[in-house]
Amino acid sequence: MRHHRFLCGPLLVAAALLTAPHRAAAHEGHQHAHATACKTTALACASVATGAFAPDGTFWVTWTAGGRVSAAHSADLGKTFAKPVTLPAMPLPLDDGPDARPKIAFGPDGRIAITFATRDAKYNGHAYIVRSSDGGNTFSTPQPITSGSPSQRFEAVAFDRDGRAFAAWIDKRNVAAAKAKGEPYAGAALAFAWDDKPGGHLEAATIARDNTCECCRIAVAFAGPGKPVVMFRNIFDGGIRDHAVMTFSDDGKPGPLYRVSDDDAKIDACPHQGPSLSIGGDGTYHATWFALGRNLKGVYYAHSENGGKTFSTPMRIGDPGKQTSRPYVLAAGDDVYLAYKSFDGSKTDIELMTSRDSGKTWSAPRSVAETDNASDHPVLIANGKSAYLSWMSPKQGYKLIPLEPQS
Amino acid sequence: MARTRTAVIALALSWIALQPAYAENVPHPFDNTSWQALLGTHKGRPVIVHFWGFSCGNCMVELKDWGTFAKAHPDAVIAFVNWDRRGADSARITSALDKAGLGSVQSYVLANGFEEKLRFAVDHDWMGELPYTRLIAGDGTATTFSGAADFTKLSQWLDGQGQR
Repeated sequence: MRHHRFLCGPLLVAAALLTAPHRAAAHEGHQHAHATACKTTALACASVATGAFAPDGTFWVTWTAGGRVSAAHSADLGKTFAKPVTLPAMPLPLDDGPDARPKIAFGPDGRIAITFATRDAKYNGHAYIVRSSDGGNTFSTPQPITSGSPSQRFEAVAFDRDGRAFAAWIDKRNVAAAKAKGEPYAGAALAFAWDDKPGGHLEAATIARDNTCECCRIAVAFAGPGKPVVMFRNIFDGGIRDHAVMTFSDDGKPGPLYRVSDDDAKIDACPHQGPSLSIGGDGTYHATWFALGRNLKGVYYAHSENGGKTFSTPMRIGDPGKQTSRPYVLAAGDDVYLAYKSFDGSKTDIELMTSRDSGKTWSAPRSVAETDNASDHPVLIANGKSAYLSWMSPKQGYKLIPLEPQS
Repeated sequence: MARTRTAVIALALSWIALQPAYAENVPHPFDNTSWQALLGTHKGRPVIVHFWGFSCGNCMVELKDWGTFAKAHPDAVIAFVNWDRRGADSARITSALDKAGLGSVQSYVLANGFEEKLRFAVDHDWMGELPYTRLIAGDGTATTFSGAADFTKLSQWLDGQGQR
């Protein structure tokens, strides 16, 4: 692995400038959090928050606080926000599992989709989609992402270039069907649906793959127009919970399933840590995941230069003694960014590695944020060729931190 | 009429009084001090600490097997720590454990706060997967079961500790 010297001075200054307003907001959140009464829907009270950029460069963040999902946009990289939109209260509580979060996706022509899930007492999920077709001035009421299913969790939505939304999620309709017949069924299933037309509605769901892990987030990225790629924890023969990718063909149908890595995760456990996938402009698949196997254990990265058929030898990420977790990968411009959590016994760092050669070699990791209290998972987002860390900690508030590749 | 009302109230009160299992087994918050306190209280004795969650299907499937195990080893020190993030409902924990025959185990619920730190204190290598079981021998030696428990091995471990 090639290591580079750090180029962090200007970046830290930029980060300080950009995050200064958030520190003020964070202070407010800190007060709320300590009063254990931070129950409003304000961003400062959020437990999880997900940032994203619209095609016009407007920054958006969606979060859960006070039992509701809200979203707000900012024209100045999060220094100030327009009045938040708070979605209607739902009949069931929001999914608060370790890998659940509201998400926001953008399509052409002002199309926006916010997705989230509620859950019942048995952790059956109920995923919803909320849409805007006017750049976020107005939003629809939450619509179920599908029908005829007792549970949908870890929904992931992305827009195709033509403006149709593609949704994928972990679905339990076939679990219920098997149970009704008294047959065994391992895990759950990967389901998907496309919009019937740009600006339309999601069509009926299709099961892309039976027997996938039921308790981890999934990742969706586009390999090209009409070609979403889904990465998820599959259940291979023998109950092996290793990761796989599935690239959709030009007709929008799921292609063959390819194994990302032979972790040999023979374990009847919920890792509660799903993968992250990003596809570079050169078509390289960048994958990172948490392994809990007999061959591999920890956080790993690998890339594929042949559309996911084969992946590079998995590269161990982070210090094994520091509870490395929650990896997230982003290809932006010519660079690849990989962030993860690291805990040393007293504080959590968000560490960042970057690659300037499409994942072949990586910089040494360095900390780009830290906290001595609870925090959300790191999320990496792009505004064109620029990369940012989107991160939330109740003590410090929401942070949008600009990132630079390290030379 | 008044007599009937009094009788109903008396019956209700006696029903409430007959619910000691629920009253006794309200889960304690599992915070910064809990792990050491748990081990310290039972120093010299083997302790089985099982981490579980409603968010974990495998945990719920094996809960009744844990109930059978606890019944077969009435003298064993067994603690159940609910590790659902952002706090599970205490009444639901008590009800689920009681239903599985685990009404007498020591029950804890993950306190709100710095989950990473609490987990690190339990085991530096624990990545948060559930179910997860930590066996602490009388001499302090720790053994870990990540994933569903193997009750045969668990019994063997306990037998090796001089507990039945």
